[in-house]
Amino acid sequence: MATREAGKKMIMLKSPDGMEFEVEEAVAMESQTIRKMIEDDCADTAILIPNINSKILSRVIEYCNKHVPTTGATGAAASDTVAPAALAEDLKIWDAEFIKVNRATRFDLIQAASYLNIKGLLDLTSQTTIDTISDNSLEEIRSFLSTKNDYLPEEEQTIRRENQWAFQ
Amino acid sequence: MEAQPREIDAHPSSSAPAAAASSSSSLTESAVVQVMANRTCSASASSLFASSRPQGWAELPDDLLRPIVALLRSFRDLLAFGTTCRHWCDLFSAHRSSVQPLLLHPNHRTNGGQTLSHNCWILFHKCTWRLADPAATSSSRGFLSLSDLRSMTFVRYSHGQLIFYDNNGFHIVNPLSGTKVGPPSLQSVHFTCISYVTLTAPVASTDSHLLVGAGAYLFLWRIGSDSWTKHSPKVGRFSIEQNVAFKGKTYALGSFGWFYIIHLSPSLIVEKFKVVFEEDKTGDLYSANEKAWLVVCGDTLLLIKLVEAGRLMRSEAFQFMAFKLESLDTMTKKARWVKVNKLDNWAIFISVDERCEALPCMNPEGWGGRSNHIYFPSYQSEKPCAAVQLWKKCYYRSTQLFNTGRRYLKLESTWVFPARFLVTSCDGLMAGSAVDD
Repeated sequence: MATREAGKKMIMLKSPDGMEFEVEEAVAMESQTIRKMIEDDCADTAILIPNINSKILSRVIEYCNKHVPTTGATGAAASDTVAPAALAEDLKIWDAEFIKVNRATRFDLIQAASYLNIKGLLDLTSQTTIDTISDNSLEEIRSFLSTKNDYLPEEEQTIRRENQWAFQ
Repeated sequence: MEAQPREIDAHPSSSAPAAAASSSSSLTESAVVQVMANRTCSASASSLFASSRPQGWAELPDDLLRPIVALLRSFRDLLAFGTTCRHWCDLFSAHRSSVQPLLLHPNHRTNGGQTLSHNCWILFHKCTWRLADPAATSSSRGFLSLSDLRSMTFVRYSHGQLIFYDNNGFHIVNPLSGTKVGPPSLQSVHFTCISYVTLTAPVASTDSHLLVGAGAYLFLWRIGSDSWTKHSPKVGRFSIEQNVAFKGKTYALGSFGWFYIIHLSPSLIVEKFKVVFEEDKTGDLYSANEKAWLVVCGDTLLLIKLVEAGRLMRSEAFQFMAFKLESLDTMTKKARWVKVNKLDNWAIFISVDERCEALPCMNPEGWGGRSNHIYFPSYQSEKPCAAVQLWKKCYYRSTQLFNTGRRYLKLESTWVFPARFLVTSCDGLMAGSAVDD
């Protein structure tokens, strides 16, 4: 476990597969869902996060850890000395690295971001999905996103003709 | 819910630990982190497509898919996304008010580099049709067949379809694929001179009709049926120029400053109103130097006017004006329109040819467009469309803004939107889908 400064309030997050994650309250509160639970005093011992397995939860915590505001109540972090613009740039690079995961993981991350209501992570995962869809053909998207083609063969034929101009 | 953690790394790779090590230098403060970054994943698309393990993206809830659709920029990507499966087609259709249309425009340049006269049919077979996305810089080749269209008179662009007329009757042509459907031939002693032709709804919807005005009569063909019905609307000097579906009714703008509400069911009834602007003036909206369009923006019915506003040297000045329907007085039979100063978060696409529907687009900033602007064809091969702010007087070195329209037979630059996405439920799509010719 990482060294933690004393005096910070810690929250225990539990994944359905039994793993426990001790995180700073501020980090956990990056999730609006968890923030609500904490504010409603439902979080005295540990918060069980259903639907999200430990691997995904750990990644989400990793994201929140990075994105928790470093100024203000949470105290002095090393990055305080860095200019905000540079900090934002650094965060962007970090995000780009963070989201370099396979599509299954990204799918789980989108769902987790949605369930936990973490806007930044939701934006990041959505945008990355768009970037992968972009410039791919219908078939590639179907195959990549594992969506099922439920058109009748005649409809499929019509669609092909209609889309021909864009995919020539 | 799962009892065991799932195996989430579908691409085990020897480079993963190395990736983890290099990328974790900035995140060492968190020991709970298990870096699963796998550099091989996003490196090439083909490696992603290789895995066939179902991921359930199709089952992604709508409220997660919707923000993703909103992030799509180019029309090509929207098209690919929207036609992936029925569910996504519906999702795209529901989102269509913030999608920009495409400009279908003829490329008048011959191989020799000469620009063809825009009204010369003889040379027209040499030009090709192109589709331009206002959000992109390049345009694509369209699939309209010119040899098919050469002898036909263009009568309307309505609900995603081009309508032509020739000796064999009417042709409803899909502007993206070039496929055609046509009604049975219309034979009636009252079918003399065509004054108006339009679709009442997208062809895929169940209540779509081809409506033809000829003299004092209206003829209706329900898409897919095998006969026409004849109606006498019983209103004097009945002639319509524009129609739009709004709040379950068909609203139409007629010649000589008339405005109509057309009820198609249970029987055809036409209500007639006089168009009145604030200053209580009426007038023909279709005089030589004036054109008008009806367009629906959200829950407002707008009337957009293109007016010639003087000349300066060899340029003509023009202006787009907007009015909204304020009230319909059934006692005095007046349709009162009031000036709209700003279009808020809407942009409107005007084809300049009043036979073509005006198309609205919400939040155009999403694809790099501008709100409160009117997009129109600029008749230049390099940059086929231009935009001007509403009410702003603009000088323009082209006479084509007014020298196009009803007086001419052929199709000019037209904003089009894929008919497939005009109906929210794709269930009825087969009913009116075009057959291959």
